[in-house]
Amino acid sequence: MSAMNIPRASATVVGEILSVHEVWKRFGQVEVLRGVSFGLRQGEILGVIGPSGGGKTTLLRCLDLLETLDGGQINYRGSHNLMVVSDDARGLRSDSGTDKGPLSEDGTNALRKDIGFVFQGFNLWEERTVLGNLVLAPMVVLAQPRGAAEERARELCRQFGLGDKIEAKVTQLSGGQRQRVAIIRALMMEPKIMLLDEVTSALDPVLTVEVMQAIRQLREKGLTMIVVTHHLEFASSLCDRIMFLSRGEAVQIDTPENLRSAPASPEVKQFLEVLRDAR
Amino acid sequence: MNYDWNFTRILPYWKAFLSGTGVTLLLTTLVISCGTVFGVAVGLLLKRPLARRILYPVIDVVRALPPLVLILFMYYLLTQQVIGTTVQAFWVYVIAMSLNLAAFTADLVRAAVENVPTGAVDAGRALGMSRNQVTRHVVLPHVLRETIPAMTLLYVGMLKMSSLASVINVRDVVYAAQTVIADISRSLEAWTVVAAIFVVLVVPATYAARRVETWAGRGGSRRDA
Repeated sequence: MSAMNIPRASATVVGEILSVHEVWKRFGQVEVLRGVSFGLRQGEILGVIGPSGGGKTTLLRCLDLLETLDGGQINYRGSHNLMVVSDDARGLRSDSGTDKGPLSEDGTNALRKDIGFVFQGFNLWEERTVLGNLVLAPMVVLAQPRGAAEERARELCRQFGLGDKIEAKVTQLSGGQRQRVAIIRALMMEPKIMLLDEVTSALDPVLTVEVMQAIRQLREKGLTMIVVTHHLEFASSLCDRIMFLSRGEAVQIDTPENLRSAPASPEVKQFLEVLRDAR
Repeated sequence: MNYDWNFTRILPYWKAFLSGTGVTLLLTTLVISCGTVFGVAVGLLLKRPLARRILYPVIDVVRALPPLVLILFMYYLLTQQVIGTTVQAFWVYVIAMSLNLAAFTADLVRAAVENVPTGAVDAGRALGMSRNQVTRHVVLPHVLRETIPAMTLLYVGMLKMSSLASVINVRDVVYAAQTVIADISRSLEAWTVVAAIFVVLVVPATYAARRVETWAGRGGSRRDA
């Protein structure tokens, strides 16, 4: 299917706060996402699994507009009600009601405030303390007073077991602690949706459990999330649905039970078996 | 040692040395301020391929010129005959050495900007920061931390190189010494005074530079945001 012939009609379903329709993304000649479509309801947790290089990280980056789209559309409901469309290579456009035209930097930034992104490699600002990492964006983006931002940072650090680390340099923390700081940093912006990109992949089993517990805490808060992971058991216990993404295509999107009992293709079945054996 | 040291002959010239020291400090301050601002701006511009193509040859030429040659070239360039107005020697020196410092600073800043981890920038963007906010709060702190050790060396070098200003008759501390020598022929005493003045200025500056380096190595201020 050519990326240039994307249907313009929105496929939004009532109740969805995010709908992704036929999203395409290329890097040079390589098609990394090939017509990915799905929706996400308020409070829903979608797991994304699949082989490395299948487009999982790129999908999250496209959802946060850190990458431009080469085709397709993304509908963000909630506070912005923004539809981002790209059906050519000239960048992103807004196509929401009267707000049509090239997507402005302000529009992009306003949208990103509502989406929390937790990166695989933490991406913390290493010259800053834990507190410095946590309060910077609320202060400069949301114009929160330092006192209020620090108070919320301390509260979240206590909740996530980092109460005694708040003045520490992030370079002094373990991988699990750093990843929790990254999660808290995203939470400081009070996002509507959280995107978590293989947040346990760089961690040993003990630290992985730490971070998984932190993510379960997010579920208890009722956050809408997309969680890219290689931990099938974790995904099954956490997520409402799981997407199997391979070679840029969403091969199957189903409940964890259905994915296990009725894999849509031999590839899905084999991948699930490998994940099970690897436990 | 047969030389008959006689500093009492120098004493009447203390005002000339004092005012020369003031000029030396003023020159250095102006050069550091202008050169740094200009250099950082050019360094940030060097991210853009077009700017890089245009500016790099200029930077390379300025860096290739010995400071004394650059000062003399500017001295004879910025005259009535060439540009329609004659720039005072003091400002010729400030312009020439600011260009020299800016050329080195721009390259340092360019390298530091290229070394900013993309993940750190992505994190800022993902949190909703504008490009300017990312530059100010993520890129610049990193650039400062990366460039401060080399910049402090450049700054101390600028203080020492201010002695070149006297070749175009700027009344700095070296010019004061030359005046004394012309008047009373006490060269060794005059240059001893100049050397002492530079030691008094440069040694504390070097210690201060080391402290700034240590501070930068720790990651800067405790007040992070």
